[in-house]
Amino acid sequence: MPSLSKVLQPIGQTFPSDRTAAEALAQLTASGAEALLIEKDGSIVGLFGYREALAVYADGSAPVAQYMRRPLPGRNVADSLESGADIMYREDTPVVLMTEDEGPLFRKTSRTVGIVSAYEVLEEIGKTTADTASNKVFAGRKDLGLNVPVSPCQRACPIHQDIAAYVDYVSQGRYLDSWLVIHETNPFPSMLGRLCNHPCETDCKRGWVQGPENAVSIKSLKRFATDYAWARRVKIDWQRAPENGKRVAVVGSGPAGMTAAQDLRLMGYGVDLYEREAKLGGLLSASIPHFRFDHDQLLWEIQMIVDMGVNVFLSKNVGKDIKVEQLLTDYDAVFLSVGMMTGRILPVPGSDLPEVISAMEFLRVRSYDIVPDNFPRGGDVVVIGGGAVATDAAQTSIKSGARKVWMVSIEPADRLPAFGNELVEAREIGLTLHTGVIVNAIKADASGHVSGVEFIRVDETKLEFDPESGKLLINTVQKLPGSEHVIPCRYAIFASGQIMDFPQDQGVPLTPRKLMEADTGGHTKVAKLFAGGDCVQGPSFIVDAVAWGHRTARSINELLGAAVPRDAKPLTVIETTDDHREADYYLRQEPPILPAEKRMDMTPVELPWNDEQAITAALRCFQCDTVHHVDESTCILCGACDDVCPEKALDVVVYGESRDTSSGGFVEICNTVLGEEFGGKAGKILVNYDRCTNCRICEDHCPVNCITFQRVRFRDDAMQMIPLTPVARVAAKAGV
Amino acid sequence: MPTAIRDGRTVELAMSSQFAFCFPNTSLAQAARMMAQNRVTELPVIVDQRCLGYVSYLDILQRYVKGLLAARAADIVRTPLPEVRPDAPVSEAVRLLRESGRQLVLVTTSAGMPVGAITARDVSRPRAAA
Repeated sequence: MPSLSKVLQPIGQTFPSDRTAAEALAQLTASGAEALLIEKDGSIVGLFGYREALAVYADGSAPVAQYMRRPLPGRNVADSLESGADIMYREDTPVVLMTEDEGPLFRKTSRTVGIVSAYEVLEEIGKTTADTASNKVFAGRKDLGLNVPVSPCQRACPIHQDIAAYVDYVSQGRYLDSWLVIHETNPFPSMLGRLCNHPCETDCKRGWVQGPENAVSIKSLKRFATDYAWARRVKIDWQRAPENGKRVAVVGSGPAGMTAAQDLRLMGYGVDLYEREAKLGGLLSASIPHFRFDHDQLLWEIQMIVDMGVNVFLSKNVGKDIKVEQLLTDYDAVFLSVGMMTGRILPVPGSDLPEVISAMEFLRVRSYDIVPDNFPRGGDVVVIGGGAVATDAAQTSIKSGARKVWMVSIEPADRLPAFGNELVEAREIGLTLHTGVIVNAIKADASGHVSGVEFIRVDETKLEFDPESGKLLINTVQKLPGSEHVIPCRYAIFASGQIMDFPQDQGVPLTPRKLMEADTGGHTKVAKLFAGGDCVQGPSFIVDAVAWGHRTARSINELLGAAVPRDAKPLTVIETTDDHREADYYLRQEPPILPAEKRMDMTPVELPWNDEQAITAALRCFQCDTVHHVDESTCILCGACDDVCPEKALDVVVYGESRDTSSGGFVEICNTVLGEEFGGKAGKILVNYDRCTNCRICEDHCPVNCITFQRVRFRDDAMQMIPLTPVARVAAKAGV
Repeated sequence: MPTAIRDGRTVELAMSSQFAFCFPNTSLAQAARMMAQNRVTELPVIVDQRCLGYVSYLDILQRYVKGLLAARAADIVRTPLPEVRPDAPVSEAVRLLRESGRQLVLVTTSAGMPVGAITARDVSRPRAAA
């Protein structure tokens, strides 16, 4: 049992009790300490920390003695750590004075020798408490006697896909299994396999080490598995819960709305899906140009959701054709996921000319395979903006026949918000960048048509960017008078932001930014009304919208409480996984794209991987979701695994022996008494999974072969794969 | 030396956008380590970008004494943790800190999404400079 002497700290700075609180605060801040001990006549009488300092906010002129915390409890340094923790809890104080006895027996006095703060006690508790289930392990799963880690990629993914499992299935050639795992949480893998911002790859353990290592190509592997399933013409037939009689209206068929529709149908709710466009998909089908993805695959994924029994109402504009109030009357719940589908046109002179269009509208019209009116085939186009939408609009303009396309932005070329690879692709096919300028006016010729765009230079040395988001701080933009210049063109596209196009008289609570006001579960202040996706959080990524759909469906079910459990058989899948150390021979690869000369039309530019490329990319995964499985009936606690672990992630603890336990591990993977009755050893093995890289050297060096690596998955048999209905019929039925 | 100090800043300018927090399934031993490392006595419990409440060091100490540390943050979460909007004045955060007795006030958007935390230390430092 540790004593308080183990965590004893020196007294540090003291402060006279008769000086002012403001002075005490100044010294406290300058010292960097957590608190000052207040001294009077040579003894410690109280404590002045930041909590006490709050009083100084009103008036700090009074002596510090008026504000300090007192009395300060004390304990003997020989007392146990528990004793210190107990007095802190009972006295609600983060600091305890430490005293030491001195003097002969019967004349003992105590003197202050230091302090112990709650931080030292907490640190000691954290170190010495055997944590049988770390943050990486789900509590519910641990109850089943299984260690189920959440891998860093899965934790980073907004929809928590079981990434390590589907990547591993690709490495084994189980492509359809991989696709099924993806579909457990992701209804649009064909899109996200190409266009996801992949926060999973940012957190991939492969990329943690500085050097040539790079993250596993998770996004592209998802695309590969999806391509394979699409080529096999299969679809998923979900087992749904029985109909529960409740009806939900979902407004908007973007990724958030479609995901919510799927989840609600699975739970047995009747779903009516309203879409103002003439086709389903929202942003996916109306704003993302077709050269970025396989449109047929999107239709296939949308159709799988529609086939679950979703009633689709196309060209129905909720807010105009149908009032929200009416929906709230007709349905048990309403989910608004209308997105931000309207582009903003800056109100500069000439912005109302017929050849001025927003990028969102331009891309929307092009998504129907129509070239907008007035678009100058063979003429020049200026795209105003530096983000991803601007790049899409610029590339689409080039592919639609423009002669020369300019992309013009305030940000300098190295700070453009557009994705780097997309910008490179665009420049390869002829995009010209013009940076460090701001639009001043749209110029017209004598006949009232656009003849050019006037820009004015900005002082690039004064530009500042948000350190976290990297976005330009618009209030740092300073124009340089006299630097006005005109770029001649016949068409101007504004990619300068998006707004929500939804009537404000529908009783939907709005924020000052004119977004819908809802919490992250999609609840609004209006009963039965939910909102989610871009219309709540502003323009974001597709995967975030899918996460909104999942969360809101869960919230709706919590409100209505009508879901009946599916009659599906729960499955606990335990798989022993392969050793992937040969993966070190392979480097990360990006999927190839078409050469520039073949990218002049709307053909998808990203080329598929072949089996070899996909498998070698998948082999690079560390399989952070697998854990050691130690056969306790075989382990002899020899310590070989501990000795060879290059990451020092293992501790073999033998009762009665003093061994190094420096890994900080707290997940127990073995607890054995093998051989104890014969004078052998008893003990346990602990792992720190934040250090373990699943290199499996321990497995190789185990002399009794008691270590394997296993994955545990929990699923049910509600997903069945069946042959796909012919696509032509499907598309006609859904009107997509 | 000023006696009554006025702070015209908004919470957004005074808050820390990086703050320690834990999840409902964070073990108490882990929470204790996080508190020690980050020098805080209260940890917000965050799930799905929402704050459920906070874990207090007092509860961890009490459970340590009683030998009940085999639990998770969700088991000892206290509610509510006061929240303030980024555009509120710092004096509002101070009022919440004083009235609630908490070490920190969570800074959230109108949708309840945490964007930072403001502690007694954050609001007191500029006072000392004044």
